[in-house]
Amino acid sequence: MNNLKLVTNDFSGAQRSQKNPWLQGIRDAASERLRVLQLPTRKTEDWKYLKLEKLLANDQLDAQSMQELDSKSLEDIDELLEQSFIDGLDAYRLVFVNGVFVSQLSQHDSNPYSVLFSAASKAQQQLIVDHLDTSHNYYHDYFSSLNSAQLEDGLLINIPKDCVVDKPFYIVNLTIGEQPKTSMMRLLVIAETGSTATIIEHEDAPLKHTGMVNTVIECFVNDHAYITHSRLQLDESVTSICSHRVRQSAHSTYQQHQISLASKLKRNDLTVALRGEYASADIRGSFYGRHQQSIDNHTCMEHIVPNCTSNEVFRGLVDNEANAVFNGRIHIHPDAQKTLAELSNKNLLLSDFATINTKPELEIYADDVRCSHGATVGQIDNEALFYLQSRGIPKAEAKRILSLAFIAEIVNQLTDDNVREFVSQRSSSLFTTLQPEGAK
Amino acid sequence: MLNIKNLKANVDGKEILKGLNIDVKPGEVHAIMGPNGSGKSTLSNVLAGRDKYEATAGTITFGGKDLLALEPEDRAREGIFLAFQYPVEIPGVSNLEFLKTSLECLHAYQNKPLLSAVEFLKLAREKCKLVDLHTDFLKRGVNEGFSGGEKKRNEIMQMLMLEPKLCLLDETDSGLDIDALKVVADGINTLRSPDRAFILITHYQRLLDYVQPDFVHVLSDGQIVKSGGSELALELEDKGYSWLESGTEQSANPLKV
Repeated sequence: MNNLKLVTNDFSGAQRSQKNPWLQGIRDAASERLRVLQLPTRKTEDWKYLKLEKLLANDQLDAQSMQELDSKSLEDIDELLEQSFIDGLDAYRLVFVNGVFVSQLSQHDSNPYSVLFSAASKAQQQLIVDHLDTSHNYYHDYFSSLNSAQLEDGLLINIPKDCVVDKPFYIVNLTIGEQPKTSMMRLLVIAETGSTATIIEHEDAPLKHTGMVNTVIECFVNDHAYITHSRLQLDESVTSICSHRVRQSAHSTYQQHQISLASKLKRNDLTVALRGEYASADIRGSFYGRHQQSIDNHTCMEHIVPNCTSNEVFRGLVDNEANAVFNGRIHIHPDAQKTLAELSNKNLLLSDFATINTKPELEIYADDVRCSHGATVGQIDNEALFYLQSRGIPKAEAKRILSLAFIAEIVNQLTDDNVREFVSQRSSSLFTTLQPEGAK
Repeated sequence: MLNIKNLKANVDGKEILKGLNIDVKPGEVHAIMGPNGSGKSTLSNVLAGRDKYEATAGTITFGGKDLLALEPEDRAREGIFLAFQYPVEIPGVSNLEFLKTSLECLHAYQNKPLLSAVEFLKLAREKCKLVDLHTDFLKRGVNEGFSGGEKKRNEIMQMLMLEPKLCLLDETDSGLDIDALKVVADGINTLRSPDRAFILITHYQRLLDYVQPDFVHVLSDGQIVKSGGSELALELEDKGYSWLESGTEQSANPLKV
């Protein structure tokens, strides 16, 4: 705990970045916020189910420890890296290693839509400064402020008016390196009026190296824009804290599919602010935790104006002694009449020692709305298990099949065939490494 | 093939089977009939190895092996198939995946060559046709949203795929219209062979109009109280079960129950 405070106090002075001076205003404002913000403790309501102090003790919250891989070490692992990308996916591939963009691994020729902050034109710089940290104008949390205060670079995806992007953006962040390190990821998506795009984010640790990623994603979805966003968090060895904020304008659609494997600590904060009428948000997620892992998903749907729709479905699988948290908040502001908001979280406990804390929260200040929420925690259906066994399928395999079936509803909704196939294979192989009780 | 001696079994601590004896040889078709609560379903569940059905005395040998010592999956691999009275719905697992996994598990155990994906699909489609199920059913979740009749036909379809040595059909005929009943009967008759045996557990004579049993046993209060040929089923149809045991109150014609 003491260690941690030292690091975080330190950086605001001595370790402040000098790169990209035009971002200095962003960094200063965040540093200012950090003087007041505290590292969350178990007494912080939003963090109370995680032993944050314990989980973070060995990880530095300091971005300075990140380092670029030299080309020699890149060559050594080239083949391995190629295998860790989604096969057959035709996309603008943008690869980051430990938060640093790696051009050799990327395939983004003829991609006019995205640019690194460090390569931004004057106009783009202005766009970035105008948008960064504004998606959520009344609340800043500790970790996203930390990200902003240390901001050196980031990725801007700017989709012009009425443009339908021909292929998905495939953003990969790999954690590689023997020394645990913290990387900062920053993604800014600005979808102009009437534009359409698909974004696939993929976090992975192909060598199972440990580390920490502090990610901030801001998506501005303007009028009539349509964004499909898949987030694959497949890095079981990496501690990850992600603050993800979406701001939607009128008639816009934002779809998210999140597939998360837990790790020592994985925390996702998703806030969707519906700020224009007839905007629609569709959030699907599944998470899987095993061993002593933790995963915490906090979502918040801010219904600010009338006639918006949000639909949220999360499925959780928790095995061994893992700990999962799901907190889904729907906040309907006084003006947001005719809101339609639905939230469902179903969980399967695969062991007697696994924990899930699930809490749907409705906060409604308008009187003409339709809201529903539900959360369940259950176990594998013994009838289904026996049915499979009676057809010659061993108990352990039957459990595996039923576990995968539980999250299949989410996985099967991944719109891209290649992504779906990749995720299916990864989750399937994950379960084969399990040795549930009764395995022969 | 199957030899049950003095079998006693409890469900939730209550004794349901009270000393049951039956001997089934390859090629034979046995019908077990009896009133509700006589222990018919308990017998099929004990044979398949369901958890809360506990054999407290007696022996069951199947192909020379002690059946009660085997896990449910191993019983299936040895060649026992139970067509469920209430097949369970499993959303998220397609019929095709399920059948493929099941067949692979059985074939691996029985040292049979594994089918290629193409061979498997061809076989599955063929069997679907036999039980009058559209091949689209293969892509759907196991029994998910199936009607009662479709679930029963799916059980028969699985039986045709897995080609077990001993087929147990637990009230597969109940709740079926006449067309579905014929499909079920056809499925059974297709599989009849000198090295395969059947135990049809049923309440009514109806199915036996289409599948001629070699033996009919009447189960009452956990014991076989009468055995005979197929003519016994007709007699039961006529007189009901009450003439067998004065203690049980049954309608004279079980079809009116």
